[in-house]
Amino acid sequence: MIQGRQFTLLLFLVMSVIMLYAGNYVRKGKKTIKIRRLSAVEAIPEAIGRATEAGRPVHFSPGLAAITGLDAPQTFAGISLLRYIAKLTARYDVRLIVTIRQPAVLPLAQETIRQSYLEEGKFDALSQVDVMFLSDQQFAYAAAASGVIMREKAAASFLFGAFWAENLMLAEVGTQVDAYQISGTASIGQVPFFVTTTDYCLIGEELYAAAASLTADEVFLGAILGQDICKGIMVALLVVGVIVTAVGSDLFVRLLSL
Amino acid sequence: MLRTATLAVTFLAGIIVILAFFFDVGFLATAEARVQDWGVIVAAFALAMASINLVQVNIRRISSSDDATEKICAVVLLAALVVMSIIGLTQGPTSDTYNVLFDGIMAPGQSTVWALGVFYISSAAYRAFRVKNVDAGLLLFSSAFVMLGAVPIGEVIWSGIPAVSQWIVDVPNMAGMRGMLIGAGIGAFSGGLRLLLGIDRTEVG
Repeated sequence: MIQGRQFTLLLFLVMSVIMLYAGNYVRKGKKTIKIRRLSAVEAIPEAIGRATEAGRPVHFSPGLAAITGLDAPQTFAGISLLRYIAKLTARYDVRLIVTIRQPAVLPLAQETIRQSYLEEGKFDALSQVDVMFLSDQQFAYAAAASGVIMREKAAASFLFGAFWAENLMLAEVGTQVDAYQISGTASIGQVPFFVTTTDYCLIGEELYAAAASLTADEVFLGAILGQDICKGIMVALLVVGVIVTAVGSDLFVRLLSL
Repeated sequence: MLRTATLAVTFLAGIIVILAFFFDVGFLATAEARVQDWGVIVAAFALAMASINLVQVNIRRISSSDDATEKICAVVLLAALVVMSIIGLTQGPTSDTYNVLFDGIMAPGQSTVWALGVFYISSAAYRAFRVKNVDAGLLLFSSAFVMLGAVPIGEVIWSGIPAVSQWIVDVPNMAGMRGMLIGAGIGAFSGGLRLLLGIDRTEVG
């Protein structure tokens, strides 16, 4: 075992067991889960409805992160929401434009959209979808995506995933073309910009919970229950840590560095 | 069959990386390095696909757009793609010509786009600071302190402003950020676990 990672392994195992157990617990019908309604998710059909009425396209960005690394879960969460959005654009015959920064996300987005259109029985309408790789350079992508939103006069713009300094640029351009904007990110430093500039924003963990809130899948809902239990444990650890450290003991610090 | 194979590969690759993070075992480190290598190979294929997509999209823009400016931009982009590819393939990405083109065009272009952010911040701040309710009022009040604390005139107005500004950043702001960070971390863990175990099958369509 690598020194300094024993406590992390313990936490990893405890959290895994809790999440799997919670998923199973809910799946077996032992507990009915009712999760908080996320106004950002509820506004998605409204935004697409507005695009339908205006006869203008919908823009979607799954963020700038790759499918590997610390920010990858945000990209996958964004793709989960893309599946839902693509179903709605297929249903209402609205043009969907997806702008991509990471090459590896391109096939993922294309396959997700293809699957959504197939499920809606609108395979022919796939010609209305533009999945564009723009650039793997952060600001080149931002400039190009802003240009797409501006030129196409997107009626709705969805920004779900990991974003950095370019997020304000994308959201402000959306505002300039009067797009209905819904965003979501777990990149904490960027949340204030999205909250300020978009109509609705999924903050932090809400991005991960959003996909679960769209499904009645018990395992997904159980995972939300598991997350809440884990959060409770974290809060308890924080409180105990503060008390133990405040009384002058380094027990907790040593425990964490095990 | 393809779906099962994809899920199996996802699980295997994920579990190898996780085990290699915790355990110092020779064959795990080797396996992790192999997984990372495969990742690079897959990324290279993805880059080729992305380049094809870029060419297709821009050829379509050239052939079907009514806007002359858009057509010119698409032609310039394709020309740049061809020129940079030829130079990269024949002289290498560390050659002088490649570096001159990258440092002379791409880098200043990116810096310019980044610098534009200041104007976007101004317009966003103008909308955010309109006092429409108590929350917006609190935002305006706290941001005024933080901004004044960051410039010399703040201390001239009142010597306590830098200290109040620092307190806002270090205490209430940090508490909120850390709360969000813990929630986001647990959410990411949960999402990763679902992908690893094949409960969430987003990546296999």
